[in-house]
Amino acid sequence: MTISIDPQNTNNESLQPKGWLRYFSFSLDHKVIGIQYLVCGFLFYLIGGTLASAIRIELASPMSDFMPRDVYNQVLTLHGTIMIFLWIVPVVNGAFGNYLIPFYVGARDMAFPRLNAVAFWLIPPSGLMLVASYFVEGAAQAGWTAYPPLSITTPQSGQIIWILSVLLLGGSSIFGGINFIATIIKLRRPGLKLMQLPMYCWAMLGTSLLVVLSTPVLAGTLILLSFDIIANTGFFNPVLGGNVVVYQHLFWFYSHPAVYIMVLPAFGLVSEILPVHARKPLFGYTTMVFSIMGIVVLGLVVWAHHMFTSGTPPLDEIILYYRHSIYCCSNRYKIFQLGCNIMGRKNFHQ
Amino acid sequence: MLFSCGFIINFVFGGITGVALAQVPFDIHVHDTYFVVAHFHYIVYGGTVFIIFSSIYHWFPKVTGKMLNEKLGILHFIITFIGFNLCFAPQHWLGLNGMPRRVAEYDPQFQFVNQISSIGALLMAISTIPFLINVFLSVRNGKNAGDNPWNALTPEWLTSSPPPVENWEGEAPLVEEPYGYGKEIS
Repeated sequence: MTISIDPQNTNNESLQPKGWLRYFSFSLDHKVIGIQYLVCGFLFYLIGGTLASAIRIELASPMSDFMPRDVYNQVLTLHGTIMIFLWIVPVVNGAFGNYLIPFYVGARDMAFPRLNAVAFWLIPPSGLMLVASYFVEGAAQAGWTAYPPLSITTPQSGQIIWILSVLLLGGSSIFGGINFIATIIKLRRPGLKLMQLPMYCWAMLGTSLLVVLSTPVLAGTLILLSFDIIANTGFFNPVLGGNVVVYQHLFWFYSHPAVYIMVLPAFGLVSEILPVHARKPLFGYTTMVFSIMGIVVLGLVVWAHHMFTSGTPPLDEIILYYRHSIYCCSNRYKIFQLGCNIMGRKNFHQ
Repeated sequence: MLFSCGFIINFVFGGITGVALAQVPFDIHVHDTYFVVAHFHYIVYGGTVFIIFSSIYHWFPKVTGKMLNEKLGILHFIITFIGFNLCFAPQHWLGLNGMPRRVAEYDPQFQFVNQISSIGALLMAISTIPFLINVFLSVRNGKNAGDNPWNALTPEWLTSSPPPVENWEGEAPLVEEPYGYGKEIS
């Protein structure tokens, strides 16, 4: 297989539709793909928002009168999954990353334009599959965490569809992550040093590292879970001697970094927007780069704070507590830097 | 811009509750309550989604060549901000008082606060309407933006809006100081 590193050869313009129709094509242009991500994500945001409204209508009265209890659980699960995997992760990573990163590194396209198109086109089918699973008998209702034994004992057809579509979405974000790392490291314009990159590039580099390191763990976990459901294996099923806590460890090994997959690009975007509108230089560029990398490293080791009630030994809890506190410091540092950016400097008018 | 400021306020708040949750005894107390829900949504909605909207406002002129309407944008921000805080701030209180999450029914003593929260959620749902109107109107007949409406220095603003297929006519510009504001007049 040959991969075209030279993006100039990959844009076969004569085959691509023009005008707004190009947003429905398998375009290889990173700008078109970015907009596709954004619009697709926004449509799913509207669906997820409708579900959220349904949840709040239900909760406006103490009794479950708006919908039955199991439907409430399904709506809850679907809301969480759609908002995380189909709106926030694709939009902050895929949409803005695809649109901006090639500009920022001075390239004409992403490193692997075809992989990029594949990464996007995995999203609409798996999203539709997820939404469609709601109409199957026994849609997923174990929450977006799908903890066993709940996910093993509730009706199963919907849970399997849920697992499949989250697997596809995970694949899509891994492809995207590989693409971003390759683009930022290898496609920089000659003469552009790493420390001259806009902050969003650093944020996306950190995020993509997190995606590539942690998403395969989620994929593996979900495959094991689907074995438990389909083939009656006993990885996580306590009845068959499995261990439920193992699932929680594996799941949070992805899902804690996932919080940073969602929020690090947002840090990056805000550090692009604030300096422009405040008309001030970005405050503490170098330290910000290191705090991003610190978040990446620490983000991979603090997952167990999601599991304080699942029987972690007390000594571990104390260690985790301190580890988490250090970790928060690195975050706070970043936020206060951005605050400094607005208020701390003397204002230079253009 | 307003969205970015809102982001910082919300994120500081979400971060404070995050530090609180990290303390083991406290976490065991509020585990699986609405406190967790409130914390999570402050980070993810108040943090990330506010930034997504602010980025859309920021880069819309680059993508389409048209400006978004500022008044509708401010309206969108105000409704979202009020709705968001009305929706999720009371949930901290609910969580501390022991309302469990993920359950469709709850003790009647929590009804009033839950209704406040539902009104907030309704406002958030309404807030997307001015945004959508704004996008549709501006794509059709917004003000022309020009290549660099914000006078920004990062490379994407140095090409035309919307950008050509291969991003630049000729060679890509070298931007050595993407944040050199206040030093040079462009």
